[in-house]
Amino acid sequence: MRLTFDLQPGDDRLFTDESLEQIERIEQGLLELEQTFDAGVVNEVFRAAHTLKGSAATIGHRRMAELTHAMEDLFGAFRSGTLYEVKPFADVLLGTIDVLRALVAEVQEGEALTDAPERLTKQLRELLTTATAAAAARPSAPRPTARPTASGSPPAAPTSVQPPLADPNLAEPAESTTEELAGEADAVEQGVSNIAVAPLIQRLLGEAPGGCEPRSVFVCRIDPMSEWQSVRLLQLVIEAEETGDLVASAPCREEIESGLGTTLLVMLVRGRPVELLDLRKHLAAIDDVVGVEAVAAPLASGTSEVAPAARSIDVYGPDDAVPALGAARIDDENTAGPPGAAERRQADLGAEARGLPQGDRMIVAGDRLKAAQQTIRIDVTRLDELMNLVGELVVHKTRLQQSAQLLAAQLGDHPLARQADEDSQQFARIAGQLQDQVTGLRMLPIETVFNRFPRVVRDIAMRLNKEVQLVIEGKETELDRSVLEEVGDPLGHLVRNAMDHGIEPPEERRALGKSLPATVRLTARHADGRILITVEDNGRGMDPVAMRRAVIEKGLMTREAANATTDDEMLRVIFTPGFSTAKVVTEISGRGVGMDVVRNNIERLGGWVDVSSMPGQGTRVSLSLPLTLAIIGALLVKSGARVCALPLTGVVETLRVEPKSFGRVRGHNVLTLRDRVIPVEQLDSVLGDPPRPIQSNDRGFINLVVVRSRGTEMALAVDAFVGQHEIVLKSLSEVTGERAGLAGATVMADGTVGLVVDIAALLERSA
Amino acid sequence: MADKPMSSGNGRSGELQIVVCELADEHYGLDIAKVFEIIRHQPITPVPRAPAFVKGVINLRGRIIPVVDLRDRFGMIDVEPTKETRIVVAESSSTRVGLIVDSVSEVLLLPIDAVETTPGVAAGADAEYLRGIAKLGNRLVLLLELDGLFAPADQTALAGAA
Repeated sequence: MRLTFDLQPGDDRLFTDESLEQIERIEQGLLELEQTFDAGVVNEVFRAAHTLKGSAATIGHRRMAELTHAMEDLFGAFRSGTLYEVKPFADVLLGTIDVLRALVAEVQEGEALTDAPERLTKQLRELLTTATAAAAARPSAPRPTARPTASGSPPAAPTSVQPPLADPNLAEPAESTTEELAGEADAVEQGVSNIAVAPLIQRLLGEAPGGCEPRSVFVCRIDPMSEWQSVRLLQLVIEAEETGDLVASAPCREEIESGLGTTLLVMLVRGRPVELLDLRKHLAAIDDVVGVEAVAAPLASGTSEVAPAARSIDVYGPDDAVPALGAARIDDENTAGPPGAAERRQADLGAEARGLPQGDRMIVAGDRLKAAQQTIRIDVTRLDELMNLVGELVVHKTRLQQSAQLLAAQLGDHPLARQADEDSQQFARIAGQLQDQVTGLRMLPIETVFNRFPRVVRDIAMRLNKEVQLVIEGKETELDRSVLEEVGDPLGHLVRNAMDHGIEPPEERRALGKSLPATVRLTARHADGRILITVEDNGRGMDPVAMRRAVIEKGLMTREAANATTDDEMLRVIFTPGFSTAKVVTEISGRGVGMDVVRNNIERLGGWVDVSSMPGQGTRVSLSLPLTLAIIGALLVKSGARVCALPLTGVVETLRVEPKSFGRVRGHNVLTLRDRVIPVEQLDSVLGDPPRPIQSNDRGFINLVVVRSRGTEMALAVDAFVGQHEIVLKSLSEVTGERAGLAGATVMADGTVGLVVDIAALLERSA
Repeated sequence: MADKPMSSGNGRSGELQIVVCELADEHYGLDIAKVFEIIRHQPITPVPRAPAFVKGVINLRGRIIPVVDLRDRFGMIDVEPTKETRIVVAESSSTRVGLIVDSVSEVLLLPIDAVETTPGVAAGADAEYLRGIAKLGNRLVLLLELDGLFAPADQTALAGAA
C-alpha cells in the first residue's frame, strides 16, 4: 500500500527526527515509571505523546495520530490520578513504542510497514476503560494524586518505592532538592506525617552549617502503623552513626531516647549520596522502614568549589529486597551552584514551608525550557561540510606559512617579510582553534547509544526470566559521531552475551547466595586520548578449564596447544570464529558467532578488545576506541601514480630489503621475517591496478611496509616512503564490494588526493 | 572562463541557459542550473577498479569528487590536457561529478523552441544522455542530459567511485 503524507519535500526528515526524539522520551519515561511512579515523568510522557499526536495529525498520518491519541488518553489517566501504577501497562505501552517507530519509518518509506496500530489503539482504549472502571469501583484508599511520591501503595508493603531523585539533566541539584521538598510538603497535607520535611532540613543545616565537603540528606520514613516508632528511629540513627558519618539528625538522638515518636527522620551524613549506597541499603533493611531517600545537601553559601566533571550513575532494574536501591536513580552531581544559589535555595525552602510549592515548580519548568532553547539542530551533512572546509583551511595554512618563509628568504629582514610572517602565524593559530572547535562539534555523549540499553536489558530479562539491573556510568563521555555510529552494535552484542551466558537464572543465584537482581554494568570514560567502554556482569564468569575442554572438542586447538595456553590467553579464544561456550543455542545469542564479529568491528575502527573473567564472579569486556575516525595517523607512501595512506593501527614496520632476500612459494614472493613467512605484494596491484613486477629503486633496495590485521600479515612493496602524517579521512561514498581495500581518501598538503587503504579489507581480500 | 562558481538557474521561462563545451570540434551544451563550477584541469588521482571512463578523483575545496572523461564516455580518442582543458563540475541527481572537456566556449541563452528532439540517427544507443539538438546559425549544439549520461549500470559504478 502506498502512503502519501502532507509534507513538503525535505520535511520528512524533520518530522522523523522530531518524532523519534519524542518517542525516545516516552520510552525512557515509561522505563522510569515502571520502576517508580513520578508525576513529573508522567507529565513529560503525556506532553511528548501530545506533541506526537499533533505532528502526526498535521501531516495526515491518521493511524499514527489515533494510536498516539489513545496513548495520550492513558497517560492522561495517570496524570489526573485515576491510575497510578504503570507496571501493568508497561508491556503494551512499550510495544506501542515499537509500533510508533515503524509508523514514523513509514513516512520515509512511503508505504505501510505495520498493521498493528489499529489493533493497539483498540487495546489501549479497552485497557483504559477497564482500568478506569476498576479504579472507580475501588474504595478510595489514600493514594497519591498528581504528585511525586508513591507512598500511596499499601503502606505496609515493603516493596513500596520512593520517588526518584530529579533528573540531573533537566534541573540543577538545587532545584531538584526544591522539587523533592515540594513533594514532601504535599505529603504533609496527605497526612503521611505530622512534620514537614523542609523545616527539618532547614533546622539540620542551621545546626550544622556545611563546609566544602559533600554531605547527603537522608529522609527516612517509618510505617505510621508501626508500634515501635521510637525504637526504629533509634535504630536508624545508630545505623547512620555506625555505617556512615552522621553529622546531625532531626529529631536528634536525645529527643528520640526521650521517647519522641514520629514517622519521619531526617539525617545529615558526610559523603555524596552515591558513596553511601551501603548505608542506604542498611537503613532500608530496618523493619517498618518504608522509604529512604538520599539527596546531596546544599553546600554552604560562598563556597567556591570547582565542580568536578559531573559523572552520573543510573540504575535500572527490578525492585531489590531493598526497595530504595532497585528504584534509585543516584546522581553524583556536585551541588555547588552559581554564587548565590545556596541563598536562593534557602529562600525556596522558605517558600516551600509557606506552602507555595506549585508556583515554584512552575518556575523550575520554565528554566528547563530556557535551557532547551540554547541548542539548535543542525544537519550532520552541514557539519561534515564545515569539517571539509576547515580541513582545506588547515592545508592552506601550511602553504601560507611556506609562502611567508619564502618571502623572508627572498627579502631578508624586510618589514614586509616580518609582517607576512606574523600574519601567517596568527592565521595558523586561529585556524588551529577553529579546527579544534569544529572537531568538538562532532562530539556527542555516548548517552545516545547507552540510552537504548535499559529497554534492551528489560526485554531480554523478561524473555529469559532473569532478574537483572543495568547500571550505566559515564554516559556523558563524549566521542565522535563517526565512532558512535559504529559502536552500538558491538555493545548490543556484548550486553546480550552478558545477559544470556553470564547472568545465572534467579534460582541458581539464590542457591549460590549471590545478589539479586544481578548487575550488568556499562561504563565509559576517557583514557589516554581514547575512549574506554566496559561491559561487565556479575554472573557465572568463564572457566578456562571448561574452555580448554571446549576448544579441544571443537577441534579449534590441539590438546598440546590448549594445555600450553595460559588462562588469560584462553579467555581470548572467545574471539575465535565458531567458538561458543554456551551449551544452549538461544534466540538471544550463543550461536558461536558474535565475539569474533565484535572484535573485527572494533579493530576495523582502530580499537581493541580485552576480556577478563573470574569463574563464579563475572566477566568484563573492555573496548578501547579512538575518539574520532575523522582524523587518523597514517603512513604515507608513493605507489604507482598516487600517494596512499596506510593507517598506523595496521602498520607493523617498514623495511628496506634487497630483492634477493625474497623466497618463492607457488609463484609468489615471500619474505622470511623473524621465523614468519610473509607474502610480498605490490601495493597498487593488491588494490586493483594492473599487476607489475616488484622493482628495486636505483640504490638496489625495495621499500616494504609490513601490515597486519587479525593475525594475518603481508609485506606491501611501495615506490617510496613519504612520511607519517595526521590525515583527515573522507569518504569515497559507500564502500561497495568493488571498493573493498580502500577506506576512503584524504587531501594531501599539496591539495592533491591520496587514497586511504583499508588494511583489514585488503588482507581479507587477498587471503 | 573564470575559476569561479557560476550563478545558476534559468531566469525566464521559455528560455534555456546553457554552458557550451567543446569536445573534438563538436559543441555540447549543459543546463547551467546543473553546472556548479568550472575549474582548470588539475592532477587526478586514479582509483583502482573504477569504471574505465572514471579518470579518478580530485579535491574540490576539501570535497572529494569523481572525474569523468567525456571523450572516453563518448568513445572519442584520448588527448593530453591542454591549456584550454576544463573540468565542468556538475550536479547529477545522485552525485556531484567533474566532467573533462576540451574547452568551455560560452554561456548561451536559447529559446526553448530552438531545441529539437534528437533525431533517430544521432540518437542511436546513447539517446538517453541527449536531451536534444539546438541549431544556432550554422552550429549544432548537442544538449546533454546529465542524469542520462551514465546508463543505470554506469551510474551505480559512478556512485561507487564518488
